[in-house]
This record gives sequence, structure tokens and C-alpha cells, in this order.
Amino acid sequence: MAPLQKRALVSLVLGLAWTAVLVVLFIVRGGVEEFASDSTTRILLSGLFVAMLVFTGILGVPWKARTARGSEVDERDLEILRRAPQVQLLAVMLTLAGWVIGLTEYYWDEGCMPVTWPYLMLFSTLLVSTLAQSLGVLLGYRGK
Amino acid sequence: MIYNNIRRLRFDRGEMTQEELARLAGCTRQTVIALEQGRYVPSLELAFRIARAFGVSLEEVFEYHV
Repeated sequence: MAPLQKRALVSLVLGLAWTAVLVVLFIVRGGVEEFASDSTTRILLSGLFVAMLVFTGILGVPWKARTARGSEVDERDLEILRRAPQVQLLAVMLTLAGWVIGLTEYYWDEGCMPVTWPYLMLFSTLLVSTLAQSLGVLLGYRGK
Repeated sequence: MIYNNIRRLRFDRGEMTQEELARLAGCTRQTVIALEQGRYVPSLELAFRIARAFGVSLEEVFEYHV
């Protein structure tokens, strides 16, 4: 397994585990209503979210690609890394489509939706984008 | 299609390891594996480095068939 591939796998597994923790905490602490009204819940979840983005989005695959020595990352790895955004784009588009269609249909009659949802949309889209980068790298190695 | 003789050239040089070739050519062992399995076509620069690692011309390592 190439060093970049290893880093992508670790980032994906840790990212998924971290996402699961975030989702469980979100539900346990009262869901959307509590997130909107309790600033402690919002700060806790936002902190965990930002920590996850920093860990997997910055210290994961991109960090490895930047700091790897010559024999660890070569032109093939960089080519795979360059193609990963295709998977990211697709994942982000599907996530946004899911959110927009779901929320629009759910709140159609009210004509408006709680302000918390756009916040959660941002959270989830960034999470998906970060995880999809690692997934894109892993898929790239399967094809090459 | 571009084919290569990397596996044979390694064999001819006393079973040069993939690791050794990767070190000489400045790439990862995984890329050498991908090249030998025909899953990856290298850039011109890497192709030259591989040829230089074996001490042969580019045409002896890579072949182009229409």
C-alpha cells in the first residue's frame, strides 16, 4: 500500500468514526431543537466538527502529499490526488441535492425553515467533502 | 498501447528488487508494481529515469504498438 493510500485510508476510517460520534452526540443532546437553543451544545459540536476538519482535511491526505519525501509520493500519487476532487464534487452535489430537496419538501407548507438547518447543511457538506477526498484517493488507487 | 520490459530488465540484472528500482528511478515501489502490471503509463520524465536506472535506452524499456 502506497504511503498516500495508507494516509487516505486512515483519514477515511477516523473521519467516519468521528462523524459517527458527532451524529450520536447530536442526537443524544437533543437534536435540532437543542442545537438551536443551547449554546453549549452548539459550541461542543462545532468544536468537534472543526477538530475533525483540521485533522482529516488538513493533516490527512493534503499534509502527506505536501510533506512526503521523494520516495513516498511520486507522480502517480499526485495524479491520483489531482483526480480525487471529481469524487468530492459528486459527493458534495449529491449531499446538497439531498438536503435541498428533503428540506424543501418537508417545509413546503410552512414556506420557511428553522435557521439551524443551513448551519447543519454546511457542517454535513464540509464533512462529506473531507471524507470524499480520502475516498477519491482510495478509488484512484483501485483504478491505477 | 505502450508496453514495458521492466520485469525482464530487473530479472536480467540479477533480480533487482522493485524497491531498488524505485529508489534509483525516484518513484514508489507501488508505482513500479503498477508499471509492471501495465496499469500505469509513466510520464516521459519517469520513463527516462527508469531507462537510466537500467542503463539502457528508452526504447529498450518501453515499446509502442498501434
